[in-house]
Amino acid sequence: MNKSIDNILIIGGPNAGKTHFGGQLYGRLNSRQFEYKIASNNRPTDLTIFEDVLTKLAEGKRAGHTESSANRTIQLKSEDNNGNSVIFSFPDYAGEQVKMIVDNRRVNDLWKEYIDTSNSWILFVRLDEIEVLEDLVNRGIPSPDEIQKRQSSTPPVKISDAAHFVELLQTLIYIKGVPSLRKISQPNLTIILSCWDLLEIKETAIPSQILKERLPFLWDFVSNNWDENSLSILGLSSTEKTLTDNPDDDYIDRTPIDFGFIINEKGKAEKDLTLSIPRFIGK
Amino acid sequence: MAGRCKEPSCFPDEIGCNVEGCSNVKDCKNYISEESTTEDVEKVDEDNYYRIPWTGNSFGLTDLNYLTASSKPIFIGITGVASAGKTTFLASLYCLLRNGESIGNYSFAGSLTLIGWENIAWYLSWKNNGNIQFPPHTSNNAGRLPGLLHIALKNNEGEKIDLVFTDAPGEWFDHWRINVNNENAKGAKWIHDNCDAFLLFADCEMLTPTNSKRGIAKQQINSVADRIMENLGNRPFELIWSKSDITIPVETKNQIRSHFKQNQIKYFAEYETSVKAGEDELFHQNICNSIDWLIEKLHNNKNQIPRILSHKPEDMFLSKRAINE
Repeated sequence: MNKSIDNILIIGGPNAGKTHFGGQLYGRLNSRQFEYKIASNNRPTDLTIFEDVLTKLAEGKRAGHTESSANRTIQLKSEDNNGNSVIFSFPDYAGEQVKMIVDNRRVNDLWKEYIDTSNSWILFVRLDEIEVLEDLVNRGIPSPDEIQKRQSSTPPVKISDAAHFVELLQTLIYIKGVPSLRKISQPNLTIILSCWDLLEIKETAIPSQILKERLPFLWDFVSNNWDENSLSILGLSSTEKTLTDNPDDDYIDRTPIDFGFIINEKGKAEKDLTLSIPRFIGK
Repeated sequence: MAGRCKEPSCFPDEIGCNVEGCSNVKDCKNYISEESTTEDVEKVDEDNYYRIPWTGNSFGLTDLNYLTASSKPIFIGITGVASAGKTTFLASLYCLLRNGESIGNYSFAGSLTLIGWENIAWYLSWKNNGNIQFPPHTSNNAGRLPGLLHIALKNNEGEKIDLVFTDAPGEWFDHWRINVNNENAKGAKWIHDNCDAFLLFADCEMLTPTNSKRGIAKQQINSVADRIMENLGNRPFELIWSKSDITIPVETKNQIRSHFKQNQIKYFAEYETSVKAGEDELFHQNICNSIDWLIEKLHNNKNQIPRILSHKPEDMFLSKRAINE
């Protein structure tokens, strides 16, 4: 029996899909029909964190945005079919807080604690929202008019998505005090390519390959800095289709836990979202 | 601003405590919390953050300390007169890495000046300023200023190297080639004193037979080269033909080459580069190859491991010198 607490820090900007994932994962754990199950006499006493998303999904609607001041953590005690238990804590916060770490180049006490106490990081990346870069090497030198325009305006506050993710990880590594001379084995890093169903790629696509194609800068950074045994790249579609504020009958009739999948390292879809748990914690 | 530090080289609001190394500035003995006109609670909040010791913009000379304290980076001097293609080269190099290109066996492993790189990739030209040397410190929203750009690379074996490129205006080199001691040549002199390798840019557009300034351009290239070759020693020196999508006569190139050949340069190479990819992307490849070449030459410069005569050569700790016995 493994009694150690695996403290998972989910890192994702606004609209990256953290909330839906949390709801769908909890729904499956709670149903006790999948590989990992919530320990039946250990259900969390306070389910406020998942209340909104579980209700919305049950109605076949998309969940609302996490309020920006929200900072709550829920601890989930679950066990696999062999009785091995995994305890992990799941923080809930608005994605803007992650954006602010990079924009303001600092972390507050609460995030310092999240970072210090976590031993697994899950980074949510939505490739469908990554802006395609128009740069020197693929589009050539901008026109003289364009250069003039750029010079006369204030510096762009926004850096490229690729640079954003690298700076975010560099910041977290520094704050946690992880030595970078050797490849990192702790914390374990999982990059989740969320909203996989929106990527318009062929079915057999392998998540790490897709990351390498779409965000090579981030791929180079993580593969050069993390030990391969402590790094996994997965695809995810928590809801399997895009939900709106109007109820989806399919969802209501088949129940939300029948929707959603992860794409494992080999490119195979798995309906059982709870199978992502051992990967998150590097087991 | 929530406070400042007694140490002039410390910028606690931006990059935390640099002198004492406190993770939270409010714990530092040198930190002076400023009188606040707003509510006290806000002031405490402002102090109560953990900061990272780099602003992301290009490094000033003081900012370098964080990097140089732990390793010896390779300093690469990007030299040449104004509009010779220096910035375009740097911006292209960054964009190539961002698109997943590698430099020989090395690929991207981090950078402490991402905002600086993004700035040059965006602006491609200079913000007007009268600086004559690198500033001590550059804040993250200062826009593009002369500075030092950092990139960390790792090779297939996991060995890490840090590269620091100088990003300086061409005017510095123009003053420097004429008078080394000119007040406006300070920054260029710093580059010559401190860099481990040099790239000198020759702009093909300026050297075309129809360009009325081609004579001056040749003279400028030669005279900057003269300065660099003084006390060059074992430092690699590259001539970069920028905007090589424009063809120039072989004679012109040979004239410039012959100037270099007069000098005994231990490591000399030429690369044709351009922002246009060229046939088989050669011009782009050459941007990466030029950096790979100098990394390799600098590795050759390393001292040989001394051979110790001993009775037990396989054990350095227990070895006993045999010379005097």
